[in-house]
Amino acid sequence: MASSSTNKFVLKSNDDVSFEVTEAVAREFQVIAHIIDDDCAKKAIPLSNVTGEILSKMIEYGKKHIEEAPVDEEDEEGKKKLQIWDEEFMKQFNMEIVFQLILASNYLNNKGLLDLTCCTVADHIKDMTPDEVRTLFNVKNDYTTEEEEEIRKENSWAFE
Amino acid sequence: MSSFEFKKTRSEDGSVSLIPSLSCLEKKNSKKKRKTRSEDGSVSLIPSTLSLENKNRKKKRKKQKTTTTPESISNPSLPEDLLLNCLARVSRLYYPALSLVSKSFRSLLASPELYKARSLLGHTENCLYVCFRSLGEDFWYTLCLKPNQTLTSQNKSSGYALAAVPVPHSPGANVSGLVAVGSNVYNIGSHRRGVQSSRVSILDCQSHTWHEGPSLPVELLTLSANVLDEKIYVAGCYKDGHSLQSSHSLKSSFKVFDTKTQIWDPNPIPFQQIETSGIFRDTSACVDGKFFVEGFCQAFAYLPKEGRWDLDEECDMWLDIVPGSSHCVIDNVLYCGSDVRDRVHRGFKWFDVEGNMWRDLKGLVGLPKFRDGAKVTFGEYGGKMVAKLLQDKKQIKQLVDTSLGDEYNREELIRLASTAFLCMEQSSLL
Repeated sequence: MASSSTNKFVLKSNDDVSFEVTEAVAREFQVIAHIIDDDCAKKAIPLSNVTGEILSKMIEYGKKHIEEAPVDEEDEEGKKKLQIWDEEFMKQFNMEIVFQLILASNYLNNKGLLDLTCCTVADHIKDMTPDEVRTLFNVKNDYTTEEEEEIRKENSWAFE
Repeated sequence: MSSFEFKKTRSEDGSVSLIPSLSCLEKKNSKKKRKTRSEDGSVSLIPSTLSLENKNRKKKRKKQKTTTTPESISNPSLPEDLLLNCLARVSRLYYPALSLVSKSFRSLLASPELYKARSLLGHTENCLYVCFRSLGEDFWYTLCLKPNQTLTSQNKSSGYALAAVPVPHSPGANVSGLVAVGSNVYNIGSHRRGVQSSRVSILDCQSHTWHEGPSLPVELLTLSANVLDEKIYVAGCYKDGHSLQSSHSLKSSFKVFDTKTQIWDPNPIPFQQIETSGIFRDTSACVDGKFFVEGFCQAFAYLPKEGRWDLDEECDMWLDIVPGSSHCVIDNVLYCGSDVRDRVHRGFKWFDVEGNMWRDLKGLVGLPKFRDGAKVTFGEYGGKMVAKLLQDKKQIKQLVDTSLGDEYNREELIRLASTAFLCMEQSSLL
């Protein structure tokens, strides 16, 4: 295990930005952990779906979660501290970045970051109007005026 | 005036009745538990400061968006599984509003995949279902939040509303036979053309469809159902023989339905005492892991763990309940609300098992005074008390936080525009 702190790997984004990380941080991303396990990680690991900007943020997240990992399941204080850091971490991003982080953490398979980013979106859309949600998710309103009226009527008690 | 009744049951989350023999001696402790539970339970209800933060954040974001590159106008589209991952973390209270976004959103929000995602995430929540009867027809509603409501201050409490649940072909609800287990609502002895039958109809609260369950082994004239440990206990009476019309021809019946195996217990549970001392009426409650049912002037208790009945002649549990009043169990305490026609028993009470008496519920700050002719029905919702008053054809719905024990605070007030009958219950998502 000693090797995981000394072993270094290079992660390369799709816009050719390279990041040198310790094995422990690299292993925070399951896909990379598999690549390491399969012994395919001799050179730089190219990540075709992630930009340098997003990758740097993901590495920042991964590092923090290695360095500040709670001692054990009972370590409530440690968990709380990390949770507060997570919240602060997310505050710096606009929704576009959050979406890219969702896609990237899904692609690299980091459950913690995926949960965190999806929660951020969930928190965000709660208070939005349908129109704002459409813009956010890039979806078209495919209801006809009549259909929309029908649903509003169905929910008349909700929207009175 | 339409009839107005109420029935409560509890979901997995509110499984207080499973706490073994927590008596009122331990009431103080139970209050503590109550507090923590209701902190959990109130997540979806109490508007946190998050909304404020969101608002601020939103402003910031908007500013950022206008100043950044044109690319930022459209976010990358999320594939469906990731969209589900996000939506599964939103409280169900917001779903009716989110359904307006697009057709695909609407179908996604009603899809079994969403509920799978929610249960995988462990994101279950209580959901309040209300059944109104109007002109002989039942209408189902669920508690939700109105869209674009920023519930940042205590005053803006009008955000809650009831959204119609599109449930086709609803069988007539038998109020005293409605119970919620998991994400299903059981309608024991559902009505057919206004008459109670032996049918058991089950409402799946994920797909909002009804299907038939195994019928009651015997057709009951009156019945009352309650849930303990995922089993439905049904007490009632049936007519034995044809010769007599008096109560002598009535026999009491007690049946147990296991919701896990979906079968009625074929082994009869002996209750000789009951046979000789009276028959069940349609009021029951589960407290202290026991199934209490009202007989004439007596309270019977079935102890599932010991498989036997207790006849407590001294127990005053039912004696003070005014006919037509509503009752519910929250955190192992039986509450009762009665209307103002009886000035002695008006308002809210809780039953002190230790003292064997009903006590006044204190600290109902902000609860409107019941006026003459007002009717109240209430039940439990995630550790909170949901009360609905019917006064002057105007109904006021009230959420009372039971986490404060007797010092209840008003939290929300909803005005509803229609009259009818109410029953409810919440159903957690798997």
